[in-house]
Amino acid sequence: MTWLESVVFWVAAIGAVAGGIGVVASRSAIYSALSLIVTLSQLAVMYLLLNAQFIAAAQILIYAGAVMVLFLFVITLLGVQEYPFLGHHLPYQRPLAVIFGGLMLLGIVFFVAQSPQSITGAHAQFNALLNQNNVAAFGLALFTAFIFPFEVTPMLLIVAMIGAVAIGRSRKGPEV
Amino acid sequence: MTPGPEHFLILGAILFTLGVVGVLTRRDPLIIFMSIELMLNSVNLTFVTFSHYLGTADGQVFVFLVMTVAAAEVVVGLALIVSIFQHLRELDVDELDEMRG
Repeated sequence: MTWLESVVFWVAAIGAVAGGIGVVASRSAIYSALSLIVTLSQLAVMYLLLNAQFIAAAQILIYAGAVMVLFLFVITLLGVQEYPFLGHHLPYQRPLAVIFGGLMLLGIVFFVAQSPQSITGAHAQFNALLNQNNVAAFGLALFTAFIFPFEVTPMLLIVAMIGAVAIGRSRKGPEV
Repeated sequence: MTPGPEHFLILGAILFTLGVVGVLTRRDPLIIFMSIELMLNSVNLTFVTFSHYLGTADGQVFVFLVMTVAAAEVVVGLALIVSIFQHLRELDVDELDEMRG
């Protein structure tokens, strides 16, 4: 990676982590949603750094666009509520969650730092098509090896749409 | 410091941990839902990292499918949250401990 790409990586990484902290620590749901948009945009920058242009575009369009608009729509529909941090059913819930989360992070970091070569380096082969024409390589994989999952996803989307309509309709049914 | 694969993986681990802590500490179901989205995205970053450094497009196809499933999940989940709110007039996962309709 070039010098400029390193700078971009560190700026985007700090932005992503700051956005993630904002999601978890904000008082109000609307600030959490805006912080999540920041994190998702920074992750799109990460995908660009990793030569995944199609995924970066899809990340902006689907996640930071459509999904987050849906979130903000529901948040404004339900009204902004503020919650105190501590749940009253479980004592010490918050410190215990932070402690166990930190232990999990330490475990993953230990695993990654222990053998960085064996994770990726040993068997890496250079795929010229993937790095020079990402969309072509992506489409080739999607429409040949992964054609069956690709054909199943429309069915999943239709089922989700029907489910949302069925859940969201009023209890009484049509009274026309 | 030039970023290598381990930096992307550790960034994914940090974001995943933040999502876990958010799910465990918050009481607003919308924020819990957003924390789950954060975890999904951290795993997506891991997939794209491996895809880039292993030189295959399979990880990116998987990320594409994860995005589709996440979109479907968001639609159904938000419909459920709106339905619960219309039913109970409050949103607090500590209060949602009854299965009775």
